[in-house]
Amino acid sequence: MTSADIATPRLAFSRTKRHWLLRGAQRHVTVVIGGMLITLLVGTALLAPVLATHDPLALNVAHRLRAPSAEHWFGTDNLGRDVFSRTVYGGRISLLVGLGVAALTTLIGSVLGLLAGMYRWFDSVIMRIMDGLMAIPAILLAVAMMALARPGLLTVVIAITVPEVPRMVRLVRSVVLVIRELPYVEAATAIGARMPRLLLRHILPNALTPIIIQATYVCASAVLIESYLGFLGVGIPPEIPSWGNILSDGRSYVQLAFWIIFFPGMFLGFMVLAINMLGDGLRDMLDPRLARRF
Amino acid sequence: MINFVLRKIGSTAIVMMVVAVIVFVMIRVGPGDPAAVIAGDHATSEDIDRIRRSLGLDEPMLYQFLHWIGRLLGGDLGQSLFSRKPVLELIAGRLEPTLSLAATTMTFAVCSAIPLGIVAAWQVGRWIDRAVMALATVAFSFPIFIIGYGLVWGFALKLRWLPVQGFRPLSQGPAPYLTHLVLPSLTLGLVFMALLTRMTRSTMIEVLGEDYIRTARSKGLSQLPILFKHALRNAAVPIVTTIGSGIALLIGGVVVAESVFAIPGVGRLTIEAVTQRDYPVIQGVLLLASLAYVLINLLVDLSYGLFDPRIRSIP
Repeated sequence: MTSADIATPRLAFSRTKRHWLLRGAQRHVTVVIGGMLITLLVGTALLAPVLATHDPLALNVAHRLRAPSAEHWFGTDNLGRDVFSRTVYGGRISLLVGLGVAALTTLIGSVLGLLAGMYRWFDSVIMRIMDGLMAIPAILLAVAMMALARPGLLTVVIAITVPEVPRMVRLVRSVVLVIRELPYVEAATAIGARMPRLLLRHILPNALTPIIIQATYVCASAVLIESYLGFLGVGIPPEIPSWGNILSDGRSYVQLAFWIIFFPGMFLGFMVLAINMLGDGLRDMLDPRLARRF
Repeated sequence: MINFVLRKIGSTAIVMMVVAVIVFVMIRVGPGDPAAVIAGDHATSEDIDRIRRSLGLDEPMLYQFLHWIGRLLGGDLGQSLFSRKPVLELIAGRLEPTLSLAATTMTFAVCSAIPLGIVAAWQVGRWIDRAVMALATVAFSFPIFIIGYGLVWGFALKLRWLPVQGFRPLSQGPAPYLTHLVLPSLTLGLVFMALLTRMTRSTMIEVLGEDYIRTARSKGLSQLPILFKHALRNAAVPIVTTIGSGIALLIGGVVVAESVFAIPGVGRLTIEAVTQRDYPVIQGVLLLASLAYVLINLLVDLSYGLFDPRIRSIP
């Protein structure tokens, strides 16, 4: 037998696999559009120092409330700061908050969910706490938490994460409850797999798809809630140009200078839309059972 | 059925208890010291100690908690640190705008989302379904204030059909009351509608695939009775559940919408309390908002019996 004989079936396999992915992408236009939008918006955020035409913090009172022009693409705000530069820099903060919250929620939610799914006593305690947390409206809870601590980037991330955790815990727990009864877990137990290994090697990888999908939704929701906190004036310290803070600065001038909130608002809306579309698309592609449920 | 009702009431009481513990612990373990905040930047440590004693913050934690719970059960939410008025009175004074806004929002959202969801499920995969889903995804993604300012710009500033902002109590006549509520409830309703439309659509798609729908079709029933009598009734439980859990989203949205439209409701009270660090008011709002959410969801759970006779027969 030559090596080519062995290589041929492998190649065929990889081709069908690519076909499957390509077909998936064609069928799920949302993933492609969402992904492209995200790439574009993340690109502008990452390239903010190159793209920005002005210093996002530089005051220029002589140029205050200027309408969009060749000099100031998105106009200037009440202190004469360049709205375009602030918007592209603001994307970095909002993305950082979104990713931070998604990562933290996924970490805490997965750990608690896995434990709740595996240990009954832990389950009854932790799920009661999660029920209580879910009963407090998310924005109210986040706003209240901001009142308790020194405002800062980390505080905002924590204040948004806490209300998001219960849904992740519930999701992971429900998935674990299904997986732990599957024959292969029984088989793993039978050959002597112990708890940490059983959880990390056998159960977690199979629960990953719904966790990733949920994490994208958490990220979208976090970007949105950061803007609400900023808008309400209780978010990240006002000197940092996050999208929420730019919108908060602009709201008093909305009738005079709509561009201060219009452009960052559009960036924000399209960012959340893109992440949601990616989440919807991923769900349809990776988990048809979940797609039918929602 | 009675057992079912009692069990639901019991679990609701437990959830409220947990909420009370969370709210209590949150204020006390937070890195900010309430006494120091109240005393201000120039306070001496004696001042802070005096305030701490007057708030009872020097007592043992468990004693404080039991004392606090005892007063809560008696309907005493404490008093504002700044205006010295009882928290309950402050909140009651702001309820009318908030409840009005919540009610009109809910009515608009339910009345638009259920028909849209049904049509989308019926025409699944066709252009009308795609249009409805696109609208729902966009409405769910754009921040409330952008939608709100957009509507204000169009309907209030350009067309001049509706007032820009503010609230008029019902006692000043129904016309100004309603016109001031149109834009805020439309703004907030779009978000809620998006959520509800998605849920109605997906549940209806699932139900429309069931055997009894095929039976109804093969009996020769026409489209409308199948959609509304057979399918919607069976999709009711998940839809009503989504309405119930969406209340949390609605309460949060009201806070933002009140800020956009300068409506003097509970949401504005909360933001004022947060910027002043008025802890008793913050606690009171959190507790009452959660209570409202939990009670509405209790009603939702109990309403399942109306839609699904199988639940009525649970021992």
